Amino acid sequence: MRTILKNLWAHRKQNGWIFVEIIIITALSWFMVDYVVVSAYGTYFCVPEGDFEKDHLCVGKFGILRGASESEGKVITQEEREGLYVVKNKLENLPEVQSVSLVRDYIGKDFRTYLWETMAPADDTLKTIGVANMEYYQNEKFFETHGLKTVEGSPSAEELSREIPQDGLVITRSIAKMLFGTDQAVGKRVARVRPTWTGDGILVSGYNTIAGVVEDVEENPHERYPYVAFYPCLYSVPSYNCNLILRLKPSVDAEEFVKKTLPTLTDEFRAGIFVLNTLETYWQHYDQQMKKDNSTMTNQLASIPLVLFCINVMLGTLGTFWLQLRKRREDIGIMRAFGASRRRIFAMLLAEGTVLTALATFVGCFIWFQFVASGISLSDGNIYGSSGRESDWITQFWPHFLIVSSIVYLLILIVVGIAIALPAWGICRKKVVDVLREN
Amino acid sequence: MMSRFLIYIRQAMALMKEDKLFSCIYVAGTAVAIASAMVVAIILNIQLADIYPETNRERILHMKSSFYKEDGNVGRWYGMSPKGVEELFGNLECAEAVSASKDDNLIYDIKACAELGKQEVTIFPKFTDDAFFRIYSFEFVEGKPFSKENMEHDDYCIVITDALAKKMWGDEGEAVGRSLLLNYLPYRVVGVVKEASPLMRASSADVYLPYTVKDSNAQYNNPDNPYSGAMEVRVLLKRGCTRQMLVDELEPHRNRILSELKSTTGIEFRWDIVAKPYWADSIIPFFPTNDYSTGSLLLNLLLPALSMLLFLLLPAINLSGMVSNRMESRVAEMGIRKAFGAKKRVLLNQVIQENLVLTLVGGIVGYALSFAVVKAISNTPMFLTFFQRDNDPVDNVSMQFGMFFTPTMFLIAFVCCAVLNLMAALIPAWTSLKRPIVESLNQKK
Repeated sequence: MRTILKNLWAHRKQNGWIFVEIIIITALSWFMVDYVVVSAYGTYFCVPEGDFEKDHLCVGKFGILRGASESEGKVITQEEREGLYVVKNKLENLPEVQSVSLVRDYIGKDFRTYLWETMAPADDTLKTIGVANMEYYQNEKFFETHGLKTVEGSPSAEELSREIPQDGLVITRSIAKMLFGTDQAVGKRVARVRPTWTGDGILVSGYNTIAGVVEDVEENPHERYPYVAFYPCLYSVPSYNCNLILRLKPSVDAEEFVKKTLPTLTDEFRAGIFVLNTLETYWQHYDQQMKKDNSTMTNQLASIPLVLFCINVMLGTLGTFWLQLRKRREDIGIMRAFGASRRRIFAMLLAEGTVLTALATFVGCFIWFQFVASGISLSDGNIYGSSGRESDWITQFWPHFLIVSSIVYLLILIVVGIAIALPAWGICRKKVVDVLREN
Repeated sequence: MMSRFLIYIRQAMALMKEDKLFSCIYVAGTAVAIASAMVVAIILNIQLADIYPETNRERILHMKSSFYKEDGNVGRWYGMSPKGVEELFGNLECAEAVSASKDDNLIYDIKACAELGKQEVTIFPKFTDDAFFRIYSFEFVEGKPFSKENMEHDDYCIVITDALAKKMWGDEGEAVGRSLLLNYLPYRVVGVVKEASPLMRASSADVYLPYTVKDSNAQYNNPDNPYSGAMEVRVLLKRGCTRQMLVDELEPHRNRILSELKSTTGIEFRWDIVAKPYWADSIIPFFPTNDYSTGSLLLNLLLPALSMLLFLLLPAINLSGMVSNRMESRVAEMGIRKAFGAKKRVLLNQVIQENLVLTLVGGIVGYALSFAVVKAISNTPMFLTFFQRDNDPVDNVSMQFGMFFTPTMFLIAFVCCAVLNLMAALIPAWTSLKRPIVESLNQKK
């Protein structure tokens, strides 16, 4: 350690520039790494345990066929609406299909425009939780086609799909636990609440009774907590804005099915004014949504400067160490002549980089800590659904700060390590005689 | 002076050859810095410069209308009805053309196909009027724009882009006169324009339809107020007219309409009309304001400018480290020159100019790299967000020469190089030249 510090001090003029650069880059990149880490954790590591099976799920959307002079601009009639059910029945009769459901929305339909509201137990309206809302048409096999499983003590998915009381709603297991401390919440009452305009109170906009509890699912993969509430759609029926979900039999390949069915959509799956004009696998739809989702884009946007910073650190370290090692050839040659192994010299050079990075990152993180202490909050990954009572590492300051700081350190260490390894390996490979002679 | 500069260039070339490794790393570092800064500059250039078909951006104003009742009700109605557009903008002295289009945010999914059962493509439509083609300088490959008469007769006629025509019919001859199904309704193609890049948010679309077609919902009127609706208005000012002149000219019309509204409906409305210059809708407003002066534009450009400076500063620290390293090995040379009477200023000048040669080489590489980077990311939703677009469903995002290479862009690239060079070389060279001659010569041992 002493030798390492001595070497760093001996070349302080050159190392000083790298040191300053790593400090600035640590301080600048901290909040970007924070956002990327927290949101990646929410997206890829917080997958609900009871999530529904998506490999055999397809989704589609209806379009409307109209002649120029027909019912353009008029309300769709009950008779015209029958077309939807004709198409649905055709799909259901296909040998590959297990069940079909006409839906207003399906889980993960649009990552950008899902709806949120705040909920609380009816007898404790201050114990709030932000949940994603979803409306579904009754008697449309909504829950079983999605593949949503109910928890023990709750009515089955088939029963929930058929009909529930007008004020009923279905929630996920995590909401039940956060509100009532147990997943046995059927029959309990919840209030839909919102803060008053002045912000000093709570207004109740309605009450609902829990009709069922399903296993955890996420409305949006970027959400960390699986808080989703399903409401029966009471005031509208499937019509022009209708979507469908389709569950295939377990032996059927969804991509193959879509490939085979797609060319026949406008000819085969058309009835009256309705035509099924898109059909894709759930994963195809999911990938497209992910690409254009705001969280994904913010992640990409935050990653670009990060990549640039890394390239800068790499080029800076590479240049400095390469030039530095040219001057240190004599030292290295003599060390080798006195028996130091290549590995030892290589390790020594890497250790110099590690210590330099550690010191600079520490100072950089400390600078960022000053910002945090003065009021800048740590990232929550831009989530909507939370109660403020969760207790994972993201919600606690010190674990959050230390984990992200460690990741920043590791990231810079890897970059510096690669940049040092290249010239170090070059000089270690040479024969002792050559090194001394070149000098 | 010039001959001295040539000597410096020759010396710089000799140094580059002598120390290839240093030169390569230096050029790479500079290239990354210039590329990062130039990507920001290119995005701003696309948002602000005159690019096809938005070649009159300086004279185009985006008119924003919002009605609200004076009774304290918080509800607002954005946009105008065709009647409102006609009455307010009908006869203006300082307007060369006035065009109304349906608010892009109200447009829903539209699918296009040549025939039922053939390939369907999701398209981006623009419901607009005949004046639209006078405000934006579209190049017609075939046919012509739809006319005022087409609009008056509610004709189902459209202008499409050459890219969409190719996608629909390939090379099967002219598209004009053919029928295209939009959401399964037949429309007659009357014109084909050269595609505008989707990055030109105000003017680009795959299909231009008259807003009078029933499908457009553009006829939406507020039952309380026949002047509010779903239309947005663009005005092309006559040469020599200013934004303020237009605002002043609109004022009496606005007051007349408001008093008419009060007398017919009995409701007291407030009506805000804001004339925004094109840039207010193009760039991301870091400091949102209702002041649309040049000062406000510069204020909003401050953050991108700072990010460009940051992208230059960080690599400059790297390069400073490397220059410092090299100066160490040239201390003796500098000592000898100082001993023979060379002034510090001359030596400093020499180091900076030698360095400038390397920086310029890196700058050229960086400029080319920025072009490649923008091309590579141009189809990503993240990049399109800067231009308030989601995607280009018909084709890849098309880019034009004028988006990357203009005299202004070259000047910006050169200034970036000069700033980077100064930041990288000044401090290490100055520190090195400060040493006493004896100490410098001592290095020669």
